[in-house]
Amino acid sequence: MALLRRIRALFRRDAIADEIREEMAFHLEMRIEEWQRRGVGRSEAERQVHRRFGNVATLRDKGYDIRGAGQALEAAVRALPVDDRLGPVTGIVATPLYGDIMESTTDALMLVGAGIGLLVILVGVNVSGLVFAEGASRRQELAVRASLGAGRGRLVRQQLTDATVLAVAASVLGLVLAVLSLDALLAILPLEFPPHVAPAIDLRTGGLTLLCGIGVAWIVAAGPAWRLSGINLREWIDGRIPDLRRGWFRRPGQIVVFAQVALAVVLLAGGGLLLRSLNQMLQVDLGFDPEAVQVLEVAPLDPAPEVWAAYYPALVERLQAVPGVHAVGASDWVPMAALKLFAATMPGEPEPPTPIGVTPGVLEAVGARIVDGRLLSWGDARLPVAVLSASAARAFFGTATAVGQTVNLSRVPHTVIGVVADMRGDGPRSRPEAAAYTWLVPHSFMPPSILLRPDGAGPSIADLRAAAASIGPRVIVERLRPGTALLDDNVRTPRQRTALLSLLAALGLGLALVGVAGVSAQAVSRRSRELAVRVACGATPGQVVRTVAVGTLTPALLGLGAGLLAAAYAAPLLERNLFQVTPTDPYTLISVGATVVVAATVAAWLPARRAARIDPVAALRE
Amino acid sequence: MAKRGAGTNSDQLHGTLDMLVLKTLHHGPMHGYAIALRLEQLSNEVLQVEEGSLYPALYRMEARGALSSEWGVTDTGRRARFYKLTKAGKAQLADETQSWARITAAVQSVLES
Repeated sequence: MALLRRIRALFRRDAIADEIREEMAFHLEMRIEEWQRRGVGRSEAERQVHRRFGNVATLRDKGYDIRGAGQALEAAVRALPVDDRLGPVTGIVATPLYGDIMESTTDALMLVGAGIGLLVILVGVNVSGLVFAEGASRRQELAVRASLGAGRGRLVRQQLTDATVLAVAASVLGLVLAVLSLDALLAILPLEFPPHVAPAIDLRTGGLTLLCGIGVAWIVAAGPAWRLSGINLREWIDGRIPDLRRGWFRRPGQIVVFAQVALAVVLLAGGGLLLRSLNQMLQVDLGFDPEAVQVLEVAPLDPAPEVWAAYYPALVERLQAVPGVHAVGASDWVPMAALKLFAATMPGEPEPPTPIGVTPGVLEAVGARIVDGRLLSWGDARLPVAVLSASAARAFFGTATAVGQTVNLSRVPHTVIGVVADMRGDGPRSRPEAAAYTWLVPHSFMPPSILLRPDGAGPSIADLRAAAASIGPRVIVERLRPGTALLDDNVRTPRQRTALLSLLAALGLGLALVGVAGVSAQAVSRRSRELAVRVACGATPGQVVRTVAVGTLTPALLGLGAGLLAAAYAAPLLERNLFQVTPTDPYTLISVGATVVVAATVAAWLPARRAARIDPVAALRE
Repeated sequence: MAKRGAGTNSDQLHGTLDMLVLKTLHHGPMHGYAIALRLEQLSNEVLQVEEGSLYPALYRMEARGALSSEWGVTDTGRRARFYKLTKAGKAQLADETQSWARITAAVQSVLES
């Protein structure tokens, strides 16, 4: 149901925005009446309520849009004194409520819906071609039935019944396959499901699938069935066989190939673009090694700042002695576990370095690369020293050497002792951010995390617990998480989207190739007499095969062209899901074109080989 | 580069607010304002629910299937959106109440030691 609601939401975006507005207006009105009941006048009550509500109406009246409101808010926050514990605010981004809640699922649904929709059309085109081919071969039988008194409606009904039987059988087979592959399918669906609703194929889903199957079969079979059942008995009796191949039905095979290839190309281009994006994403140098780092959460129960300040350095020292620990440190920052609010900046604005509190061992544990100088050591304990990221060093000192210079961090002068390569702490999509690593001062509101780099098989959680408990204060030790899990969180959705669209694209290409091969095979049977004449007139087997293959390949190539155009037109819809790849990436489009040309040539050529074996005498005698 | 602490903290707050909202709706459908009011009353005015947190939480839970909503008319004849618990929401509430009870019992036993 939740899924259906989201699909409905796609088409009701404006209506939903209106509903949210109405809901907020109702809420504000109730709050105003609440103030009035306390004896406050109407206008004062309105002022109070709007103020507490964030003064959205005032901002709107002043002509701010959502982005402008974010900028105004940021300017106001920047004017406040810097909170030394949090460091300076680097940016505030205002997002519309609707977008915040719905955007990610909307995107995924668009993608899934568009992919599946294209595939269903492709299947429909395929089936339509088959129905026409099958019906054409049964025209004699249809004529006999008509002569026995069957009306056109009855003939159409008969063909639709055939289509229904086939659709039910195919849907049941599809459902069995879906049940068997449900887990694998869910793993690649880029949708979040409610934790207590395990998606399953139940009676409702099964019934809906069956109805859709029958509906598609009727839609695609109705046209050919109507056309084929238009039998004029007088013409049949006179031996004047009506030419069905007129208008749209003049070349049904070619139309089917054209449409199938065009649709498959659109799917392939989408899958190809996402595949290239994912590849680019995995190639990005994060500046640290997420594979080698593990994260442990440890917190003393006593929240007194002096307890924490003494505990963490002692903990790091103990953990260093645990077997299986290569490097370890405590930090108030964990790569890839980020919240947008602190990471965002306004575009084009120089970014102040984010002060990150670390103990010695953290930068070694995450695998930071030293560019110059050295990392923090225990000898620096509580000295105002800092390690800068390369871009922070550049921002402060340009091309000059940063090591040995002084920088002001949270208004305190710090001596730069080293420079490390930039890290993309928020994952491959984030920018490398300017950071300054200084001595950790644990905040009382949130315990720092322990980052460790294992050696060999790594430490046992029991050893880590024992070490954490051996220092003195009572502590809570949370689970140990590998850094790859954090990375996975970051690239899982793109990976799922890519897998899904690639799967749909592969199915689409497969269907299109079956269509191409089918039309090629049909052409050999249909044109056997003509081909026999050609052979009798001296055409070589190669020439005959080429004639058949070219007849099929021409609409395929036209379909390729139309598909590429459609893909270039539709690709910008994918833009938000792409990473360092343009929607009209020539490399992807050329690869798709080449793949389709090669695959279609093979699919057309294999059945066409039969044409070379035609015996002209036998074919002409038939 | 981001502070880990803020992320964790905000996740925890989300979780607690979700549980409180689910609990409030346990007794029957309510509109957003009534949910906020009920939370404030039940907590003796200790919990002031910000609209900026409440409505995103409601929409998020609805998107995840824990709540459903429909437009109705209040006692005073105004149109309002009423939220109610779904089967999944009831299961989530049962789970979260249980784990909350476990945590508070653990903390209590530490404090009493």
